[in-house]
Amino acid sequence: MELQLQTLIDTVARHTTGWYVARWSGVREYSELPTTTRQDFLTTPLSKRRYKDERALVKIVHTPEGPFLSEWAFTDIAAEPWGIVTDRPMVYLTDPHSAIEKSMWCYEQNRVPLIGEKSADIASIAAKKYDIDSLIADPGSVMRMLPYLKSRTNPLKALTLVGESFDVADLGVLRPYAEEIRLVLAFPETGVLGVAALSEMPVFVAPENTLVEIVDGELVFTKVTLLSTPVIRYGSTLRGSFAKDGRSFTIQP
Amino acid sequence: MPILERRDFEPLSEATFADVASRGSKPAAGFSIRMTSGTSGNGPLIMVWESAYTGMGVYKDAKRFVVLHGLMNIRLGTVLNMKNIGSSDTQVLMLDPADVSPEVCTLLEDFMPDGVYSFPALVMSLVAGLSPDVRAGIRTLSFGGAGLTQMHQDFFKAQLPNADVRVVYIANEVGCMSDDGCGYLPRNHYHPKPTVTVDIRDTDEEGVGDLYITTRLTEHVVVQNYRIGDVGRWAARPCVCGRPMFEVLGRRGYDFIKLGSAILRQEECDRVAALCKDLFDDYQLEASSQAQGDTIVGALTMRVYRAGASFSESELEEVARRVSQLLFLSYGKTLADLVVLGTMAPLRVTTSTEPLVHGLKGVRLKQLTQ
Repeated sequence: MELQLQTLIDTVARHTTGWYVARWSGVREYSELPTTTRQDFLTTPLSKRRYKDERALVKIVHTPEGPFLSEWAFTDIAAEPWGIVTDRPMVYLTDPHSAIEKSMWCYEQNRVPLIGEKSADIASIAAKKYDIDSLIADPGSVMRMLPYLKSRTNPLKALTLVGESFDVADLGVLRPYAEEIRLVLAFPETGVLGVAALSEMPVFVAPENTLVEIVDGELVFTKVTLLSTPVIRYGSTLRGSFAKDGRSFTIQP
Repeated sequence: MPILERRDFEPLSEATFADVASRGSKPAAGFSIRMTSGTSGNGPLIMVWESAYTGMGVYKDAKRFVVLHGLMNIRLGTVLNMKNIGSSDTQVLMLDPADVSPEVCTLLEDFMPDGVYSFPALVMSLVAGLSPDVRAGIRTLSFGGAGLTQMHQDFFKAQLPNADVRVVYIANEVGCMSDDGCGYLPRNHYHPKPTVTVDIRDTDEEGVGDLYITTRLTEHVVVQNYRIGDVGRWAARPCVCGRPMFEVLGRRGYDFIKLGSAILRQEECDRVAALCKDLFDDYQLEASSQAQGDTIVGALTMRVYRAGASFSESELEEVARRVSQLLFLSYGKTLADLVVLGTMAPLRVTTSTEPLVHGLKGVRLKQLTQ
């Protein structure tokens, strides 16, 4: 990963888009690079932080401080471990931009996804019609699908819950309805930061392309692949600690 | 050959799902799950499209493309289509109607879209917040599933002066039925797609009749002889490009109602309502007809609403008088003319003290069955 990291830094440093270079002020040593935050994404137009020009989906990320744009090349969406690949996946997410992205991920895995309409009733009718075998949802939207999940005669093969935080006590009610329940820690602008099985104290494993650090108690993430807007030392504001293996991590409530 | 109606689609829907399940080596990206909105009163219909038969490419040249639509499945299908047919550096921004806000319009100054695919009413709400630069940058404006009114056309010409406006004839139960357009097509006229058969039957003296569609949803599922519910006619002369074209006049029973020899169109009713703004704020029209001897006599009941004020008897009489004189129901003949000829009954006007509800599609006309 160190080689990939150095290649990423060299590529970004040489790029005509000078967003990171301007922030780095001549520093090239990874451990000394300043962290980036969501505020940096908010205050910089997308056109000033684009590092590649590929066929891409552009999302609107709504935050309490205002919206910003986040661009993801379809090839990069494909590489994120958003879900478990099954034959008939459904995507039902509160955020429509996120729903489109995860649905495109299904296509990238050569699966035809069912995307849920906003109405849970309509989404449930469609889920029944398609006889879905997995569901990508978020902690809020999955509860709206609970009546449908209860009506099934067999559990889903996989239930993936995408979020920036998880109240695992509330999610326990979902256990009977899926053979496997995964928690995917992610921000819209960073992609997947960690994946954990649902448990009382989830231990998140970072994807292969993701480097995790803890800086003054804050989880800081770097994606070592060149994304449309690279994620280099992204300060998540999440407090966390490493597990015994020194790579997987837990989030402090 | 049996006529297929919307209520007959369930077995076809099942067959499309069977087709996608047995697609073999065909890539998933060639298929999408579509859903009707359920606003036609039939409930949602869920089915699979195979893009080789149902798809369109009207917006394929856009580099920074915005999809603005209320239904998730249409947004996803459009994003997928653009990924399949767009250029190698196309950026696709999907907008939810809830996204349309001053802040997001500011983001569009950064994104600078050159293409938009949407519904006319949604684009009108978006355009109001766009800067002149963003408006000038939009080169293609494409619509599917809804015709354009003259008011729409004038609005887009004024507000998006550089946009090439294209409309495709599409329905979620059968996919795209027209090609991408040649640039010469008059408003609400279309060239049939080579893979689609369009028939117009039960025509009147002006060639207006019901549209019947034969097309393919997937490799093995054919929609045959489908009475789609729209009313249209073949153009008397071919398009400038030399190909035949058909005009879609609207939805039978909603924005196009035939009453004997009279034709009631929502666009014409809206025009008259705009001229009567001093009398009422909103309206609904119910149409019915009955045989009187050898003659079919049509009858219209207009329900009007005015915010904060009731109507006097003399005002209601004025509504009836003015609407009857302004509303054209056939070439050169107003409602008042047809009342004199005995083919229409005098307009009846009622009032509402509550704002009128028109549903998702803004339907103001209703045909009462006898």
